[in-house]
Amino acid sequence: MQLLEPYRVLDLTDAKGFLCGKLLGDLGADVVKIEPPGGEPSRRFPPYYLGEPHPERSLYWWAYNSNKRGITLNLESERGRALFHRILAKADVLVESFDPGHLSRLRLGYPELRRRYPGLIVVSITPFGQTGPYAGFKTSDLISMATGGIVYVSGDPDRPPVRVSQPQAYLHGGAEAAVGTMMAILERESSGEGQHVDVSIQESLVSTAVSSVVTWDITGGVQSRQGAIRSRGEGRVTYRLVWPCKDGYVVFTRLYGPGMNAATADLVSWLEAEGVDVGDLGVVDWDTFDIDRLSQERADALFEPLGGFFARRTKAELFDGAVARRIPLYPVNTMEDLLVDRQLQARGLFQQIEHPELGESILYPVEHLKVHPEPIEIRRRAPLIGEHNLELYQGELSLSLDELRDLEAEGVI
Amino acid sequence: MGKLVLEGVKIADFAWVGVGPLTSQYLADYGATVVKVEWPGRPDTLRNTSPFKDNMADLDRGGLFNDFNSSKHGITLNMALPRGREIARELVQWADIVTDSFTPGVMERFGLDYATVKEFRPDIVYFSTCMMGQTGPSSHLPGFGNLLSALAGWVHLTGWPDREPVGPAGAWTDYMSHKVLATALLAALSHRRRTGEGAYIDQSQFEVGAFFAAPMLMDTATSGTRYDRMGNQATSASPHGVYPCRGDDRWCAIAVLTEDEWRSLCRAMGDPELVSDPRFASAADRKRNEPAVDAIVSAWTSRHTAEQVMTTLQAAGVRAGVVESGRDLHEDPQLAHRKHFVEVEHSTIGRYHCRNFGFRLSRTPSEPRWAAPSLGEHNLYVYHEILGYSDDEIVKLMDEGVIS
Repeated sequence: MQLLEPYRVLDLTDAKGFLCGKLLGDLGADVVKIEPPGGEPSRRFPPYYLGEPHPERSLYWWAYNSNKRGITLNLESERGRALFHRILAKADVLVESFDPGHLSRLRLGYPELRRRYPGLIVVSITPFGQTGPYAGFKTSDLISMATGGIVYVSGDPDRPPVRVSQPQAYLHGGAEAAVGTMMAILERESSGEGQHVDVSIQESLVSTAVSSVVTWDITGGVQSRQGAIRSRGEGRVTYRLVWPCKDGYVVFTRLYGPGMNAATADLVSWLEAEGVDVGDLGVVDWDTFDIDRLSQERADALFEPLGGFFARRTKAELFDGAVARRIPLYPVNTMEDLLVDRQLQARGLFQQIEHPELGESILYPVEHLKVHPEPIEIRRRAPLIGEHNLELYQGELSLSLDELRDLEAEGVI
Repeated sequence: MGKLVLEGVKIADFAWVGVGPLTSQYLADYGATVVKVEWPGRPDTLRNTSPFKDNMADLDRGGLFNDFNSSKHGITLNMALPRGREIARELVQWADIVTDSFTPGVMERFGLDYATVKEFRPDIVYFSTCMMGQTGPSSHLPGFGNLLSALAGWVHLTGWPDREPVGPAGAWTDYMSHKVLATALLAALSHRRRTGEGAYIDQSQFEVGAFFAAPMLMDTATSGTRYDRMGNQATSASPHGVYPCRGDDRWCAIAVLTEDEWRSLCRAMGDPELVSDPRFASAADRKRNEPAVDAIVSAWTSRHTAEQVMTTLQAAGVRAGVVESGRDLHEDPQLAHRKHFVEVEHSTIGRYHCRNFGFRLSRTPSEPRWAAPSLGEHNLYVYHEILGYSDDEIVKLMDEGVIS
């Protein structure tokens, strides 16, 4: 039995909350995505399969809505809400990402739901939380990343701070919501009662900026962005993290102090074995070497031969050598590189998932976590608009085909 | 505070550094009894990692360590000694959950790998989290989260197109991995309560990093699309970026995603004429003339504080947010409203602030309960109350260097 098999989750989220239901679904919960008739607007979230903007082609939608079933239901209509209540009666968890107050206006706010379904867990994912001075503020990936603290400390010192170039903020909010959901589920297992889980995407991101947060708290210093060359602490000697190599970049760092001495010694031996003049690196006693006693000038001169060595080799050559020698020297990979990475292949991360509606199978990263004894797999690809209407409305709620046609004509489903 | 969600849940916590301790912290703050095992020959690496309290390096002053290990009990137990490993086994016998974040093979040498533990505790819930996972050709490669972020594609995607990549600051993949791992761990705990069955979770942080890139990987695999770093630009929205504000190194992020928002921005900047400027008539036009758009927006933002820009634009319905420094986060009114930072009292460094999580439970909320332990702070409590050793036995173990 999969870990969460007994649980049913209703998923009303847009892109801000997909990952919550996705993780619960991966762990075995029966997740039912409920969309307005015509489909949820986040089906327009790029990128698209073969670049074709289409509500059934969003790769973002596919990636984070697999292992969910999908039905359509118009919550704005009275009949829609009546039907929704019948579905709610059988649900354990409701996850939503509407603006604060939206569900209350539909008489589906948490207090109303609690009265009717005391065991129901309601998870609300919003940019800043349900209440507070920013509760009504709008967000986007960039805004969430900025207000969560990671942007300020990322980037080159002589340019504005930068975000990660592709959307990430909502995934953090969704994953944090999944943790909160599990807390509420565990609590319900002993009390039988549900509760409201109020998730803030901003607050879910503060963990990503923890060093910046902690620095202010315990030193009164403001951490700033350092780019590819970083220091081991405020005002201390800086070392290169990102190094150019023959076909891109690699990362190797002395930011970690004495713990990196043995690895540095191994790297130096590798250089020597390949006939590289390692200069003073060759005479360092790595057992007693204290990185923190170097001046900036000395540090730069000492480690200079590494730069030359990296520059003449490819990412793959350097990584192969690093793996063989157990040196923490990693390539700066692109998406293409990840698709052919030997480690990911060996563990079987990528699998072809059938999309019968296209007559194609698509490569997905599937088993992002190895769970024993029941592994994570994609039991079903993301639902098409209303794909499981019949299964749910007819199969479970015993509506007749006539009733379904009537609901469809009224725009309820 | 009433009964905590995870009261009675027991964790033998061998995990160190980032993802493992961040994961067990969710459980510790929510009421589980977490016994964190270290010994002087092998303290948690983060005890030696800056920033340090008042910039003074010391095992009890490591800021990241103290942030990640709230509400836990800390003991010293020398696992290099056979007697130490025996006691570790007793701790596992006591526990519901075992955590491991060493390089693969270390727990095996201690006789505490999942296969061994399962023999005497078939119902144990056990996680191993590391860079690459327990299997595969690179599994034994040591590393740290900010290096793994390069391997998983995130360094390449962060920075300016005309410059070398810089990556997000810090151990980017750590902060996705712990959220995913905690979800699965709690699910396994729920499953165990219902069925009596244990579970094993083998996490490769590399794979979580790839999972968070899933749409890009799928696009690259199917269409050959290439993803590169693009500063703060968006593919089809403009203005979209981080704009300078009054003060030193102050910035506000602005993202205009619709034509309505563009018109609102123009009005909020006091420049309604811009709406009819043909250079900026559509998103595509603004993308084409992006340097001009950015110059106009920057000229306006420069005259105001980042907080003013954010509140003015949000009031006008435009997405905007202060690019928050560590100080800003501590002074952020929204985070203050949610009581994000919780003051705790540390046994040697005094008061500091721990973070709460991104969720609040309405009926059974929790928060960091006490400060991270100094090295061996809870030895007496754990050896006495949990493992049942007498004072004499504890003294003997100390003499033998098992507890130190």
